Amino acid sequence: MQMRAAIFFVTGMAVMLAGGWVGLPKVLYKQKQQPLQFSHKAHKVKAEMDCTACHDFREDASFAGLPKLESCAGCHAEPVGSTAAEKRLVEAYVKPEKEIDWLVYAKQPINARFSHAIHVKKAKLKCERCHGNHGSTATLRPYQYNVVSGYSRDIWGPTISRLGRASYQGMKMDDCIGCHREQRVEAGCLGCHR
Amino acid sequence: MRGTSQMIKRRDLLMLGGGSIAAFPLTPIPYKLLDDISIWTQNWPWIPVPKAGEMTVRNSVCTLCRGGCPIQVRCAGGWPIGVAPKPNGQDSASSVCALAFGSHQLPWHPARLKSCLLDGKPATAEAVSAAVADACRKAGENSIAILDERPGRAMSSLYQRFARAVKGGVYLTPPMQERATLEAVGAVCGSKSRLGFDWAKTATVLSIGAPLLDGFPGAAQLAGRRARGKVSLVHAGSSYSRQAQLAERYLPLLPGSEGAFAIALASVLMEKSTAKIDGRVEFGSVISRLPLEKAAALTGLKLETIRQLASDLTAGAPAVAVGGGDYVSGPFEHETETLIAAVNVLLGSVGVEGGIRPSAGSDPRSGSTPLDQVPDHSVAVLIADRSLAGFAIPWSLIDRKLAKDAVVVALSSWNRDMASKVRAVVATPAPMEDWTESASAGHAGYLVAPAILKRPEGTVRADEFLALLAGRLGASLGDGFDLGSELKSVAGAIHSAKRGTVAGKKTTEYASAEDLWKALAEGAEWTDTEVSAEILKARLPGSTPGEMDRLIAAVTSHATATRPPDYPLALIATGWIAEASGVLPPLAGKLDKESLLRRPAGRLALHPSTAASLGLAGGEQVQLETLKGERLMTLDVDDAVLPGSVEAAMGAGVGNSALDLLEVGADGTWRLAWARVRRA
Amino acid sequence: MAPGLGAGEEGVTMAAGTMASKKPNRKFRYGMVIDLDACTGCGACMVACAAENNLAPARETVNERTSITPMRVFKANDAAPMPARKTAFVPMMCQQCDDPPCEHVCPQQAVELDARTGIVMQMVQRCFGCRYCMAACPYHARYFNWFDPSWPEGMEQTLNPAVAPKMRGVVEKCNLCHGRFHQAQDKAALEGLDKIAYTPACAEACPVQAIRLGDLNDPEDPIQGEIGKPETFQFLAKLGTRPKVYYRSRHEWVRHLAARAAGEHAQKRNG
Repeated sequence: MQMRAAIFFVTGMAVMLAGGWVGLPKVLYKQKQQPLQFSHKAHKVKAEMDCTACHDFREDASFAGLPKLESCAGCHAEPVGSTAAEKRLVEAYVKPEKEIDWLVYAKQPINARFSHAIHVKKAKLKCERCHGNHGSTATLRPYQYNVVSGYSRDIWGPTISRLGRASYQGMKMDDCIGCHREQRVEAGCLGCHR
Repeated sequence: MRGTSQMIKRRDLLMLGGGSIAAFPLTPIPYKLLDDISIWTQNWPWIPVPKAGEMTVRNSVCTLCRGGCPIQVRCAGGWPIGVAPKPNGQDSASSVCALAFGSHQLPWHPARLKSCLLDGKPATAEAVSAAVADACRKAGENSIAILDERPGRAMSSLYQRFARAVKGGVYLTPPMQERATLEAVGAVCGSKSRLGFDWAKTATVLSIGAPLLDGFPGAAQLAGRRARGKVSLVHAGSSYSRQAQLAERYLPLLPGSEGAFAIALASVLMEKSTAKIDGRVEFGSVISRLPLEKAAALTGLKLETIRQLASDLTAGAPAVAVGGGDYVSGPFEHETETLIAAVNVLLGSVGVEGGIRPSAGSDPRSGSTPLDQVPDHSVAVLIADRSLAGFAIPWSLIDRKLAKDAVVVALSSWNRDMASKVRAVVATPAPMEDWTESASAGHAGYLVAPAILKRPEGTVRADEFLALLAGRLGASLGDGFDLGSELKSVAGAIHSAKRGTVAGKKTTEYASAEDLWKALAEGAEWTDTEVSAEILKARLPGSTPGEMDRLIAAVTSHATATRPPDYPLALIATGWIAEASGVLPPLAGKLDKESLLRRPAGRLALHPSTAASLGLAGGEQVQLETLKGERLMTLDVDDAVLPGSVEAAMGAGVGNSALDLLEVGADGTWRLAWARVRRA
Repeated sequence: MAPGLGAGEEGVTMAAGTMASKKPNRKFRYGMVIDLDACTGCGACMVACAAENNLAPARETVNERTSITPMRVFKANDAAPMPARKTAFVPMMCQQCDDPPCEHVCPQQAVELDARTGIVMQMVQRCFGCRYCMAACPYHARYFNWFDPSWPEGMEQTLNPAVAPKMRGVVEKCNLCHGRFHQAQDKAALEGLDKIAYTPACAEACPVQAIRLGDLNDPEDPIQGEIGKPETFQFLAKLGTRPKVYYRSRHEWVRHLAARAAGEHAQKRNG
């Protein structure tokens, strides 16, 4: 009898553990494709542009984030290459003057304030430190998002346990605090919150 | 074993469940879900997220009152997110008040109209112009009037052109109280120049009911100098307004007794001064017909107080007396202004530094017909430009000019104003959606700001509507009847006048009118610097036969005006300078609804003794009643209110606010009204 | 080690001597001086504050209790009989205490006296709305969001992106325009400036410049000249909250407003 009870108990545990560790990540995240494909590599190598050509600081010291359509339209008023994605860019976005609704991997809630000016100019961080090799990729990976919180999977990191993360994986407050503690730079609540 | 283990028993399920529960905290489920749910709860989709964007600053003009203050609009990604005062190298005569800081939200006011209305229903501009044209054709001998509350703009020139082109057309402007005392001084002293108060050098200001620190031209300058202790303010009036609260001394006047006060003060000043002034003898002989003691008694002040005031004003020279009335309770009668002008003459402040002198600027109302000079019942069609409003006016001031079955069309961005009185509303572009001009009584000069936002599809600019209307009437408006062309003409006129400065440069330094227009089009201000060299000759009124008789009669009749029986309380109308606009910026509620800084519309106040005599307590709902009607209000008990009077906040709009409880007298004033208050 | 990380010059080092800094760490202590003789009670500061902090227009049924005015101008008088009564207007907001009672009582640590700037920062994300801080604040400078904010359609486009809108159930207050501080901080970082100078919305709006922000740690800041003067005072100084907002007035009765009010209360109570 005890054996039977133990078997069921352990089965229950196993089912829950499997559900939690394997099942949860599967159901918790959904995936969307970017509205348009974009090759950072082609722009970096072929067009010889560096990050700041599109992702620079504005006059008011704020960071431009993702460039507006007019940056793309500057060169792509007409197709300059032969890819289907570029053709779609020109036809569906540039010509009708419609802003591209990119899905932002690093999007944070409005109450979180991250200052690119301070981290890039004063702390002299490189883009790769937080954004990985994103700037060298040939395609945009699918946008995976959490169905409960609505934010990108990039914020939590690739693994559900948050173990084995590279420096550029994970953008939760803990990750920011971790680096700040490591570098012994205090920002206080005021520094990072709106 | 056999036969016992084939069926799943309840105990098995319990064990299964127990195992799951035991393993639950060893899975990421609770922690991850808690984390995600807390993020979810912090980001409800119905809480708007401000859009990020590059912060830019655009020049603009506040449209809420005739001050027409230049402002800077802070934009994020092209959307206006806030207002800042415009840094101004010179002492601007206007100040940016509380309302301007919420004005960037006006295009989204709940009362915003994005399409024209005809008989209360959405309609096209074509339909409205057809209906109005119809009414114009039936006008017969009556006039087709266009009422412009902000004259002096390029748009005003277009109105004048329209009035000239259309049969029976007449261009009207409302009273401009803020200049009443200056105009009276000019009339009394026979001056042809435009006059102004030398706020930069005045040492003492006697405000007779004038809201000097509340949007009056020169408010910022006065407030600044007061802050530094450089100017002393005395306020004489019937309401313990903010102006009265900030004055060094407050002299409570019985309602309607401002004229008597001016006579009393003038009498005392005459006693003290032996200066030879033109007309002194005549003036003296006439005002002596109202003995000093009687005049003082009419005001409710002790004679000693008036004597002390006269001493202080003389000692505090240069001193000026400012009338003009209040922007809600309206102007003073002409005779009172004449007497206030006489006080200024006797104070020795006419034509001297720190007093009243020729100033730069031109009269924006030249070429117009003043509203109060239009014969009663002679207007068949009234086109009222309500998109830029002036001061509050009771509907009866307009109503009496309207003929039977007159059609009123409002040019407005809001569905609020004159709502029940107009046949149609032409939905004009809201502030920031089109060119905005300022050619106000406030500063001598001109300012135009370009659009910051795109105007919605269904909006029609005033000149566009008039062009449609003229077309239907077969009237020829001439070439270039559109705001763009007229603005360039204004730039051309400024350039050829060769006066003043634009953006820090002399007008003559601009090579062409085109260059000057480019500067103006970005929101640079033209400041008129040329001042007439006329030497003002101080003169006292009274030399015209019958003038002083009218003066005395007016003063005494107003102060002792017969009350209608059963209406024992003197009604003092209070309110906000911009309420004539019909809408206030939504955030203005911080000042009256979310704090006790100002009395909100719909509240009235009684002195404790008055309330007690009526058996009323604070907080009660009451009816404020005049001969013209009644209005439900809430009662406050306030010992700063004069016993026997009731102060009521009127509310916004012309033709739909409590101000319509006041009747406009034959002398054009509505400041003294009689009312009663009873429990609702 | 994280690649690309240079010497952190910004901020307070947590363990002195572990980082080789070239510049001394700059600590600011932002404070204000408000001239009550200049204030005309126009309320421009209140409206400008509301616009800057993304406050929603008042609901129809709003009252004193449900209102949100991080900057509020009060009317005070010397209780003399009319017409000799003197009136003054007092702009009151979070006094940015150096010993803030609200920080001490918050169970969530949702309030922090920032070490680097002296700003008492309210983190609405952490707040769960117990309102203990509202009881603790002697200046009544904290306001509770009874409702979610709502704007007329389209007006949400006019929201300031530097400040997060608050949802219902949280307490908010003046943060000395932290949004503008952030923007100034970014600018200073890009331009390599040492001083972070900014103007809060209320100070910018005031037509008579009655409100001035300054750095109390900077001996050359213009407001230093006002602090020591006899006309300058703090409200409820005796409570020991060490507010960094100073007021000044030539008039004795204004300086003794708090004392007089307490005395009046005592008189009324004791008959």
